[in-house]
Amino acid sequence: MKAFALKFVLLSLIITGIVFWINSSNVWYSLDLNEKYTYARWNSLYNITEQHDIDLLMMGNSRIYNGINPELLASKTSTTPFILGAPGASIKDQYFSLKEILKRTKVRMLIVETSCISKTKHSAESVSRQLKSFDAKKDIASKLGSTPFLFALNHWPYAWFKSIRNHNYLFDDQQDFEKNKESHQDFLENIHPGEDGKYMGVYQLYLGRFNKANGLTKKTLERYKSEGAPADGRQMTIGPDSKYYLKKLDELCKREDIELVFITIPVYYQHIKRYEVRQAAIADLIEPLGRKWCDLQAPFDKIAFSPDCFENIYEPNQHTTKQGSLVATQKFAQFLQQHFADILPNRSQEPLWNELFYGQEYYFYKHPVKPNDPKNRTLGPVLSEDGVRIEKLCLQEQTSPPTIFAMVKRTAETEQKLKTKALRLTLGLRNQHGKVTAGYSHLEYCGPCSSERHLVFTKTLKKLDIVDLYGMQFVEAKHSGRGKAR
Amino acid sequence: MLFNSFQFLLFFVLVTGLYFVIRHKWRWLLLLIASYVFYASWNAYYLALIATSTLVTFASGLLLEKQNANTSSTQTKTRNKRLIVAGSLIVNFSILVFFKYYDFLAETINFVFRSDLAYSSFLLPVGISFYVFQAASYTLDVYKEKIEPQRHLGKYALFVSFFPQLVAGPIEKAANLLPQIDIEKSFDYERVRSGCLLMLWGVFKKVVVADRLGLFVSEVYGGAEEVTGLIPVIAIFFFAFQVYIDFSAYSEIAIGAALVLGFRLTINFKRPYLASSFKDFWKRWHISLNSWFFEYLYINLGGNRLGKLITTRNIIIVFLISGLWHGPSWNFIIWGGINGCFLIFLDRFLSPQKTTHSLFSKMGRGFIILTCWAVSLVFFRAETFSDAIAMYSSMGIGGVDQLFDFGLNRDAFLLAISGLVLVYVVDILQESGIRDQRIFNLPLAVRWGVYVFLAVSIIYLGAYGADFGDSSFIYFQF
Repeated sequence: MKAFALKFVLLSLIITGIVFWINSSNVWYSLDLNEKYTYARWNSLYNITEQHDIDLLMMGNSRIYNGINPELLASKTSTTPFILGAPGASIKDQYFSLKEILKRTKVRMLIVETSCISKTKHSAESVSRQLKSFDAKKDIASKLGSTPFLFALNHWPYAWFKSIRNHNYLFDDQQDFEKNKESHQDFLENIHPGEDGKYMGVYQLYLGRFNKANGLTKKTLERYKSEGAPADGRQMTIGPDSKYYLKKLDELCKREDIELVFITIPVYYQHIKRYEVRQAAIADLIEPLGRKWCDLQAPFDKIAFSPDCFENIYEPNQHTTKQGSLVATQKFAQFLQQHFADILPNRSQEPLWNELFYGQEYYFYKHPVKPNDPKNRTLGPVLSEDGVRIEKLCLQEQTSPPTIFAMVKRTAETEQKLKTKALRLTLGLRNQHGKVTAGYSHLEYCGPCSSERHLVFTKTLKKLDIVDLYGMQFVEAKHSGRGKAR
Repeated sequence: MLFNSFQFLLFFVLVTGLYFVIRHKWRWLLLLIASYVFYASWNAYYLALIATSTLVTFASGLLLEKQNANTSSTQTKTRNKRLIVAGSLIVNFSILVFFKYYDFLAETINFVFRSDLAYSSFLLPVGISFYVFQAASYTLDVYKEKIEPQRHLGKYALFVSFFPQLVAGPIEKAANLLPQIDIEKSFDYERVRSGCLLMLWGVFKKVVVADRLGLFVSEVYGGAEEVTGLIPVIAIFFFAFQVYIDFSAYSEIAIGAALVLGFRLTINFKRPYLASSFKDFWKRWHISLNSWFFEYLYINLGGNRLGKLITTRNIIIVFLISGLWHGPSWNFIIWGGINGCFLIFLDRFLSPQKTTHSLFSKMGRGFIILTCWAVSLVFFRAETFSDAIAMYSSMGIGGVDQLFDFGLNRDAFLLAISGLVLVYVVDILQESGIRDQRIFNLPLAVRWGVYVFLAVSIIYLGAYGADFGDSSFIYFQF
C-alpha cells in the first residue's frame, strides 16, 4: 500500500507540475479591465502597506471604488484611506480579504459598502466574479485557507489554475494566445515601479480609486420617467451567506479593534424604486451589530447629487462618476468627522503621511498634470536663475486650496544650500480687472512634504490667476512674501 | 457528485484510504456511509426512497425465509410467498412508477380522456431505475430460492446503495455482490492499479471523447429543423458513439472504483459496435439490464419455448418495457419497439450462417447494425416525437460546408474523431483478446507516459467547465 501511495503521490506531483508549467505561460487569461484593476488594487495595497498602516479601509464591489475619492477623503480627514473593492465582490469575499490584509497592516476603520450584502451562491457568474479578486490576492496561505469557503469543491482547480479554468481556449481562442501573452506582459511591466521613476504606469490606481463613467444624459432621464426605475429594492435580496459572513466580519473587527462602518453609495434617485425595502433589510442586519451606517441613498440629496454624478446607464447597477465620487466623499468625510473624530488619527504632521500624498513616489508625482489641462499646470525640469535644477514645478488647482510646489533633487549640496531658502517665483498674474501684472510668490521649504530623494518647496494659494512664469530664483527665506516685481 | 468531478476524486481517495486503514468488520459501515453521502450530494431527501426500497426488500427476504421454514401446506406456503413477493414488488415499483412515470401517465390519461390530472413537482431521483431493479432482483432471487436472504440489514443496505454502481449500474445480482461484502480484502497492488487505470480510461472516454461529441450532437438536435443534409446524418452517428462511450465510460469507472475496493462488478459492455448480429449486439450492450429483463421478464413470459409467435410477442414486450425503463416517454417506447423489430426481422439476414466470414462481410454486418441502431436512437435522443420526425426529415446529402459551425470547430472536430478512433482501436484490441493488463508489462517510462497522457488530456482536452454546463452521464437520467 505504501508503494502504491508513494507512486500515486509522485504521479500526482508530475501531473501538477505539468499543469503549473502550462499555467505559467500566461496565455490562458485574457485580462479585461476589471481584472487588471483588481490586480492593480491589491498590488497597490501591498506597496503602500510596506510603509503605512491603513486608517480607513473601504471594501465592497465596484460601487465603492467608483464612489469614493480617497485623495479627497485623505485631505478632509488627514487619514490614510484605501479602497479595496473588487467587481461583484460579496461580503464573504470581504471577510477573507480583510483577514489577508490584517496580516500586513493594522486597520483603524473598515468601511463596507452595502451593495455587496446580497444574495451570494456558487453560481457560474458569482464564481467568475470571485475569481477576479481571488487571482489578485497574494498571500498563498490565506488563499488556501479561504478556498473551501469561497468556492465549491469542483471549482477549486479553476480557482488555482487559469489554464484549467480556460482550457477551452485551446479550441476557441488559439489565435488570441499571442495577444493574451502580450497583454499580460504589458500589464506586468506597467503595474510595477520602474527604474525611471515611473511608479506603476497605466494600470496604476491611486489608493484604489477608479472612475470611468460619464454622467446621465437627458435621454436616460426621460427613460426613468417613461419606463420607471431599472432597479428595484424588493429584488435586492440578502442571502444567508451574506448574513453569516457579515456577522463574522463584525466579530473579526471586534477582535482586531477595528471600527466597522457601513456606507451606501447612491444611485440616482430615479434609478431605484422601493429602496425603503432594501434599506429596511440592511438596517435589520446592521442595527443589531450596533454599527453606524452612512446611507447616501436615502435621504437623497438631489441638489448635491446632480445627474452628472451618475453613470449614464439604464441597468440595475449604476456607478457614480468622478464628480459623484467627490460629492459622496465630501458627505462621507462629514459623517466621519461627526461620528468618529475622536478615534481617527490626524496624520497631517507626519512625514510619512505627507510622503504618501506629496512625496516623489505618490500622488502628485504619479499624476503629472496634462499639458493642456487648463486647471493644472506643470513644468519640469527647469533651471532657476541661480542655476538650480528644479525637477518639477506644479500648480495644482484641483487641490483645495490650490497648491503650487517645486521639487529639487536632494543632495548634500542642495540640502545645505536650499533648506533655509525659499523659491521666489516671478509670475504674470491677472488682476480682477483682467489686466496682467507681475508678482512674486515665495515657496517655502516643506520638511514633511520632502522625501529622501527630493526637497519640496510649497505654498498654498488663495484665488490666483497665474497666466505666466517670468522667472524663478532661490532667495533667503526671510524675504518670503508677495510683492510687486521691480 | 459526478464521477468526472474533482469532488469525486477527493471523495474516492478519502474513502479508499480509510477503507484500507480500518478493520474489515467496519468496512461495510464505511462503505454504507460513503454511499449515502455520495447519493445525498444530489438530493439528501431522496435517501428516504433508497431506505424504503432497502427496508421493504430486506423484510420480504426474511419473511420469505420464514415461510420456507413454515410447516404449513405447500399450497399455503406458495400463496404466502407470492403475496410477500407481490407486496415487496408493488411497494418497490410504486416508488419507481410514482417518481418516474407519474407525469407520463397523467399526461397520457389527460390526452386520451381529455381529463385534467395534476402533474407532480418532484425531481426524478437519480438512479432510481437502477437501485429499484437491483432490490427487486434480490426479492425474486430469494423467492426462487436461488440465494439465501441476507440477515444483516447494514450489509444489505450496502448491497442496494453501493456507491460505485448506485446511480447508473451495473445492476448487480445479490448472488454476485452480497457475498463479496463479507470477504476480507487486502490491499492488492495489481488489483488497485488495474482499477485505477480503468477509472482513468473511463474518465478520458467520457470527458475527452463522449462530451465533445455531445457538443456537436446537442447543437444539431437543438436546431434540427434548420439543419439539413449530411450534418444530421453525422449527428445521429455521433450520438450513437456518444451514448456508447458515455455509458461504457461510466461502467468502467464504476467497475474500476469497485475493483480498487476489492469488489468485482458485472461487465456491462463488451464492445457492442463489433457485434455480428442484433442478438449479439444485445448480448454486448448494457448487459446487466438485458440480463435482468431476460431472466425476470422474458423467461417468465415463456421465453422461446412456446413457439415463434409467442417468442416474437415476448421479444416485443421486453423491448417495449426496456424502452420505457429508459424514460417516461413514448419516444423511448418507440425506440424499444424499433429495436425489437430489428432483432426479430433483420437478424435472420445477418446471421453468420447465412453470410460469409470475410472481413468485408463482417464490416458490412457491423455497418448495418450500427446504422440501424443509430437511426433508432433518434427517438432516444430527441425530446419529442415531432423532434425525432424533424430530425429524420432533415437528413439528406450536402451541407457539409457548415460542418464546423455546430459546437465543434475544426480542431475540436478532429480531436473528437481522433478520440473516437482511439476508443475503437482499444475495443478492437480487446476483442482480439489483448487485455488491458498488458500495459503493465510495458517499460516504466511508457506506462507512466500513458498515465500522464490520459490525465493531462482529461484536464486540457476535456469538454468540461462553465461553458459546457452540466456534463452528467446520459444514463443518470434513467
